[in-house]
Amino acid sequence: MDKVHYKEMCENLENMFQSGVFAGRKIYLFGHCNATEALSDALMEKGIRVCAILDNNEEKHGKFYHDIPITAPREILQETSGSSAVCIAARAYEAMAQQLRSMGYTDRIYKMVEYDSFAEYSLSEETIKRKRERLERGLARHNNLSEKYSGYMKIFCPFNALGDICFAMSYLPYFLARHGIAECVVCVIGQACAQVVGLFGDYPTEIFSQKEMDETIQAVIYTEDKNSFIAHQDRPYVVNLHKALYIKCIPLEQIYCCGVFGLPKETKPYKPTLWKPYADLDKIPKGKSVILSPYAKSVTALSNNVWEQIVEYYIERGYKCFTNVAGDEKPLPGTLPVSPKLAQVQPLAEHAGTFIGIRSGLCDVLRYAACKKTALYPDYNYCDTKWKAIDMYALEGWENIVVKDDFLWKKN
Amino acid sequence: MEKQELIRDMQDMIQGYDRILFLRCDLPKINGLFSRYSDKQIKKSVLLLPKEKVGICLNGMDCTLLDTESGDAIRKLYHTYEFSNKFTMLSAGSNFGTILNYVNTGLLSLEAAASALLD
Repeated sequence: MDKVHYKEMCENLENMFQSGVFAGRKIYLFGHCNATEALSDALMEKGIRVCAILDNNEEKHGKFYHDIPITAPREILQETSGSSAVCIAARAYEAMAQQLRSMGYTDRIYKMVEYDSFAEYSLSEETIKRKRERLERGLARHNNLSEKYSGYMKIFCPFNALGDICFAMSYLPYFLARHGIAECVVCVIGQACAQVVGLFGDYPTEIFSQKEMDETIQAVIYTEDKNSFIAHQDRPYVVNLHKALYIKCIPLEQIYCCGVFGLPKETKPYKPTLWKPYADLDKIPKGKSVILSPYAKSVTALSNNVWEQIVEYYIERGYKCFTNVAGDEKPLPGTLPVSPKLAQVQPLAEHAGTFIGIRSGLCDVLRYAACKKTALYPDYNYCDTKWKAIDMYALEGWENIVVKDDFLWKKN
Repeated sequence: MEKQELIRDMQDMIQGYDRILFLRCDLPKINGLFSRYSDKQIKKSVLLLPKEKVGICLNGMDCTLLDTESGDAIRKLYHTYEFSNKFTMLSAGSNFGTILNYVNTGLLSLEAAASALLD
């Protein structure tokens, strides 16, 4: 979960806690994901115990997050009326709330964070008026952008995710060439995404907040502007590429190449090349270091035991271990912190010799690094499909490992 | 169609159907998608389409024909926000990726694309 959404969720939680909405009610969460785990932890800190995490994925039923069971949504119907509440911290809030109502759940449902400002399943006058105002703000911003970049194609990357930016930038040059576009501006959310754009070329880049981006993209959709392109695989709601995953596994690489950009599947992706040196390489033993990356904002965390095994393995063999950290993230026990900029991470990993990370967007940034690379995949399904994360995200030239409950780190 | 009438009709369709498909008129592939549509569909669906596309109406699937003004009003409403996850607009999507790209690039057959959209 990114910091902006985490802060928003915690503020909402604090306000709700102060106003007493949780008092005397059994609290359920819906949708087992990274954000739900963060919400569970935040509730726990306030002394509120979560009864269960509801999830539609049958494979998760019977499992636990800490000691909280993951169960089928219908389990909540056992609660007597007025005794429970469901908190949702997920992009699909509207659909999830609708599902609960359709099942007959009549108690309180709370949206803990605004992950999807495009959706509101209502046709009330008030909703339409509010959404119209939102559209007007987007139209004004879109106009300003068009004036600033007259004659440019505007490329919108609507979500703050490094991997999505990597894929978009890998195929963008072909798309521009195919459509005879000489110049473009790339619009992203946050500095990190802008840095990833910078790895692929000297593109003009505009940085938006999520709210600004959503509103501007709404304007792109509404006006059907031919000089704007939304370079994403499942955002916003008008993009229907994800529906194909219900009948066929299409790896993310091909979703971007063929689905988003309409390019032949044989198209070779452009690689990031504009790396910058990492200043403190002298503190990293060359070829005898491991860069560990245990944190990801959109993936459920791996257990401490997994990382302990890996650190122990490498320390026993004389390696020095480092944890890639940002902000207040803590290095793994037995490791030292490193905080390279995104443009430095490949030179750092290549110098260290080994990179091991939870499968996140950082792995996409490092995809072509000339070192030993391992991606660890929590054993979960991709969105609401039957495909596993590894089916969608497996990286060529990497060791791709699914981490199950009985995980043992073994190396030959 | 008056705005209030449009909203009421849409609310009725959301209540009465599992899937509302709005077909834009400027889609070269769309006839193919629906001519191959089979009886496998189990959800109750309604197809909204321009009057001139009346020939695409299919057995087992309700159809509502729209005049240009109504079609544009529905398009604008859908392009203002996502008001229901039952509503799907099928268009060539010139400024975003579309499932039809999978058909054009050989990743998906036309039948598979239709099946995915109607799921």
